[in-house]
Amino acid sequence: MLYTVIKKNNYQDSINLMLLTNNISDMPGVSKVQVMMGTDANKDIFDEAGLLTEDAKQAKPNDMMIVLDSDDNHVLDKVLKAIDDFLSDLSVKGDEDGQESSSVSNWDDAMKTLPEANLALISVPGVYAADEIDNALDNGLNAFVFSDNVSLKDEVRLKTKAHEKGLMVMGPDCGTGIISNIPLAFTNVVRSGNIGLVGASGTGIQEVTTIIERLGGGVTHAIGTGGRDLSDSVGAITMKDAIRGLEHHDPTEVIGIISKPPAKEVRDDVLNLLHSISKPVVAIFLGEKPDHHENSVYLAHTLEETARMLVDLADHKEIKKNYYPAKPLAEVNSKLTGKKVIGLYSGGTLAYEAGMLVSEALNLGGIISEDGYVLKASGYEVLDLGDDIYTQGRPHPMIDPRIRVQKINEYVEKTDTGVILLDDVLGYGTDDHMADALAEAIKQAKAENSSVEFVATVVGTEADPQDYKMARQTLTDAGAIVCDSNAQAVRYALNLVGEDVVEPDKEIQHVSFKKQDVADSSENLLDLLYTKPRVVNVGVADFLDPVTKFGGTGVQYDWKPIAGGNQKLIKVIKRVKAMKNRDADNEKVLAGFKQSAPFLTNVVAAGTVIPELTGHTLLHAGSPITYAEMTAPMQGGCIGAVLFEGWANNEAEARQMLENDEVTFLCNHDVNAVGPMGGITSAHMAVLVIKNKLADNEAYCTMNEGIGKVLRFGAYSKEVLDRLDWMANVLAPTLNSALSKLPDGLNVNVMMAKAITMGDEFHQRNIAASLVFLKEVAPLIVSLDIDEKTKQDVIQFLADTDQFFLSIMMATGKATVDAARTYKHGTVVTTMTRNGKDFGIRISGLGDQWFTAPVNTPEGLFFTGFTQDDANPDMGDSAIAETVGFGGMAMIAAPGVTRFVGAGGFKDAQRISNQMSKITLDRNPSFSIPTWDFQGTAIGIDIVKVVETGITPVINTGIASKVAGVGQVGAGTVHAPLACFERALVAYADSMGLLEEDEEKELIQVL
Amino acid sequence: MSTNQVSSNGERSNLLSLCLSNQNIGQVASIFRHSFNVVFPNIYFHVGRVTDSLSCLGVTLPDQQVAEQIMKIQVGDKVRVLKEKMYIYTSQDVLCVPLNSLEEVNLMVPRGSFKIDGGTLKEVWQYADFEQNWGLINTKPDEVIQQIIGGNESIKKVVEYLFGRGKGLTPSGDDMLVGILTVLRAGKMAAWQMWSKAINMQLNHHQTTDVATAYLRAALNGYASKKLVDLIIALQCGDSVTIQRAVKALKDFGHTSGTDTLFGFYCGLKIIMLSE
Repeated sequence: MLYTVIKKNNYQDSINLMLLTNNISDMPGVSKVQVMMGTDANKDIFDEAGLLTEDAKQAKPNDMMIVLDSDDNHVLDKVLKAIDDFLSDLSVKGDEDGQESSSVSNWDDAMKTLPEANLALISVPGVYAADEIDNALDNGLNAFVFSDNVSLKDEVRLKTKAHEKGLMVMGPDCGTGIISNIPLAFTNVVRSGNIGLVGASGTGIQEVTTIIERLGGGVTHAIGTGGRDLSDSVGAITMKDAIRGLEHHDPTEVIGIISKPPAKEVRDDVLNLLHSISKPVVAIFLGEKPDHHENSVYLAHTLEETARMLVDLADHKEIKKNYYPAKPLAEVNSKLTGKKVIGLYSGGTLAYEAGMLVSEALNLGGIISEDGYVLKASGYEVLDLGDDIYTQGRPHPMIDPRIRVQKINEYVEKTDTGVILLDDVLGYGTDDHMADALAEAIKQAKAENSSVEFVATVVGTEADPQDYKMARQTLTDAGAIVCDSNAQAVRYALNLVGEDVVEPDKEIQHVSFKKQDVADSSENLLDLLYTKPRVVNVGVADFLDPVTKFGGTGVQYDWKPIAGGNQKLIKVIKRVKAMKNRDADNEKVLAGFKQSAPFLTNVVAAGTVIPELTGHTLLHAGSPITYAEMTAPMQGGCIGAVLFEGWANNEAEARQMLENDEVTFLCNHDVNAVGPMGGITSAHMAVLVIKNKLADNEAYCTMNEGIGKVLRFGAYSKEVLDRLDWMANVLAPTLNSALSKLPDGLNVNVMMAKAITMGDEFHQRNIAASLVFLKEVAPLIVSLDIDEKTKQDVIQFLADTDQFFLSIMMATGKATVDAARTYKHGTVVTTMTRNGKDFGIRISGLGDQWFTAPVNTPEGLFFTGFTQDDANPDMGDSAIAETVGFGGMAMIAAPGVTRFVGAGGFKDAQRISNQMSKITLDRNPSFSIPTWDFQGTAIGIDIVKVVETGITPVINTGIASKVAGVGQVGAGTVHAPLACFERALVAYADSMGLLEEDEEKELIQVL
Repeated sequence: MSTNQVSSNGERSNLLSLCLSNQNIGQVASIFRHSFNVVFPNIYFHVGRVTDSLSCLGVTLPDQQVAEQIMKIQVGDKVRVLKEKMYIYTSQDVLCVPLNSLEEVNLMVPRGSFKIDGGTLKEVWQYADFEQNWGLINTKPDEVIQQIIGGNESIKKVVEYLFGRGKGLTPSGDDMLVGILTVLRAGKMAAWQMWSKAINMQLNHHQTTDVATAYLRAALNGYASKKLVDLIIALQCGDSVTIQRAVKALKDFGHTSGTDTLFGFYCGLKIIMLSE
């Protein structure tokens, strides 16, 4: 049964009422409900839905009509209460903190946000890392590269480039670093001090810095170089630059070098540099067992010895001959004699050190690198559980204890396992409860095999995010022996099984060397070392936390792969961006946008101004399309036009004519025209004429027919055709006569500048502009020497048609871009349009060439009885609005429109517009938006920015039924497909000679 | 890190060049609201605000810089002098005190005769109101003056009495001794020799605070903080307005330290006047 409630003089915005309808539609007992204002057009919609009751028919335009279909007579009260509740609070219930994020999504914005940046912290997937390092260097930033899987070739190229620019690339695969006491990536918190480190090993740096801290020393810089820096190919570029930098960093008095054994030539080169500097150095080439020191370069065997020597030098104390206790650290455990030591490490360098010490003690032949083992000999096994073999597809063992627990369980079951060595690495980036997980595993293992001993080391400081003392205590309580260093832990373990390490005394030997000129470091490098870093954090957001916590500044770059990660497109983007004239070209195109001077001069029959409209010719929206390819509503528009022109007597004849290809189709855009939705335009339909005085060009657009059943949405019933007839024969001449009273026509910019401050974005919302237009034109109409009824009808039609201005804006947009794109250069989007099948764009540099991709289907709010399934794919030339900076691009001007995409509020509108401004090049000060801090509209959609960011323009749009004749079923938004922008970019690059042979074909195939 | 935030606004005592060397290792020893001390092998180094008095044992820096440094430092932080700059290694930062860019101020006590009469001295006495303002609680200034100038006690005994007497980082008695020594040295009094000998002996055999020891040793070497030097100069010029201003500045320094030093000054002047 239908229940009707008319709320007299109770006006609500149509968007609110659509939201309301959606809100109450799902209430129990409601089979159908619709709430709308009582306009004639809305009554048509009610009628279509079978809800136009007699009471509803009586409603006035300012009355709210509520019609409910329900079998339960109690439901009405509940619905009315729900309506009252909804309307009493229309505010958006969003996240209060959902403010504009301070993060950025491209390098330009990053550098604008933090112009003083001096360091990029890069943690993007390896395949993209090289490009981001390049970008960092091009922006004058040093790079700390956490990412791995950068090719050796790229590493050499990038480090060479950095060196030439006076910058430094730390990494790739650099897990640890401290710059001016700011922990970067997986790093411990260490107090500042006069020790500076350069290390090619992450956990090596962690072990040394934390021992230094615990010995009372301090480290200001620990510069990671990445594991391959000391290879033949790279030649220690970063290490040498870092050493030179620390030499010139006055607060650093002592320098520590940590590396696995480098290539001989590189080792000699680095040592030569170390001999040439003025500061004492402690160097460990882990795996070598030095028996002497060389000049002021003190050579260490273990990480602990490295730390102890550094602290002595830092305190201006003499270096001792031996830093190892003469006696074993532990008594032999008779139960363990002859049993094996097993190392289960999360830290690679700690595993390496353990393997080295065990191998040396038992003469096991040295370190290996096989299947995660660094030692596997005579039953002695040391595993690096952070090796790729264990981390493919699962978290690193510093974050996830499971692999270690699994391995503990495996080894405990082996009868020859005597001692298991473990590390617990604290600091930023690692798990906060690793000690608990390991303790639990130790307890269970000991319950299973009580003779197995666990010897552990905790790499950390009191200032780490975790509790260092508690971690030690937890492991101790579980039955582990916790040593102060990894070296001690290994020796302790060896002692338990009856073995020991022997460390010889070391004396200083004076060696000759060729003194190098240790030239001044670059200003960039010294700035990095002498100041707190200003970081662009590209990738993992958590890495920025310690930066800001410890006194640095930073901006989060929410990185995502550009061009969808398409490496070939990325190369094209880089080449296009490197073009020198592109910016200037784009500026000239946009000058055309900004200097546009549109005037509404005439309203005439299309055929009188579009000479191509001869014979059986129709215009349509979008890029070229055949009748057969058109979706139903566009076909419906064609049928309506054929009938309107009198080429057929009925629908069947019209269909036949169209299906037989007896009608020629042209794109509106190819004949200086645009048309909303289907955009079907015939010779005798009236069009608005906009003259752009900038280039003296004209553009045309059919007039808005109102809502409900209209040709543009595919309706072609008699009332539709009658209205078109009236518009052509009454409305158009009247308006034309009125406009003829103005020598130059009506200045459109002035009307739009006013209306945008009144809440219009000119695509979904034109009510203010329509009223401003009516204000201008009504006195002219009244002054005409025509009958009063005509005046009355025309003014009433204009007053009833909220979207009348849409067509004026569309013709204005077309006149604007057509003037601007006479300068055929650059990458500015000059046309966006849709034909229901394809989204088509044109760009300034490629004239009339279309670049298309399948359209998306708009999403939004639907009239009662309709759902997303009823929506026709995106259609219409009205995206000319977004092309020139209105509509979705200017959502902020009309925040209410945002609600079409759900429960969006002001902040969502702001977010969308800010996002759109990321793909535009300029602002149009003629259209200042109060709610956007009076910034002008964002204009000049740049295909490079679109492809680079993956952000495509958002289009505000009406939604047509996919069934011809039904008309509009809702309104919402839709995004342009990325592919047409990608294709345009490839074509542009090709036209500029930027593609190699066959590259375009390959790219197009990929796209 | 503030290495490149070198400010030219600040001063350093000319005594530093004698006591502070490149490569010196020190550590933050004490931190106050507006200043801090760093102990080095040969100097108890003071960092104060430029709006406060320059210590003969230290430097002044812009107030904001001192405030920021005080926020970051902790007692025990290591300090190095490297290339004419002092680096303080705090938990999160390396702070820099740029010694070389500060304007050097001569804080050697100027020697010459004083132009002060009994009336002015009396005004000082009345203005200072020592009994109310000094640090020796429950002690009568008259009685202490009598000990110092009355001749009833030997200088050695007076020094023993005053040395380390009172609370604080610079005990009141030590401040008084600094005042006496400074005035006697400025006035080129023969008595200075006896006082300095007695104080030296006391320093060698007994302990007072590190800070007081440092200032006593500076006074023995003929150096005094800027407020004291200003007062000496004022007294040597004899302009009453300048004297009053300098007296007020000294009195206002610290909690009781300024008043205590002024008391020593007063006594020293009395000794000079009596000798005349």
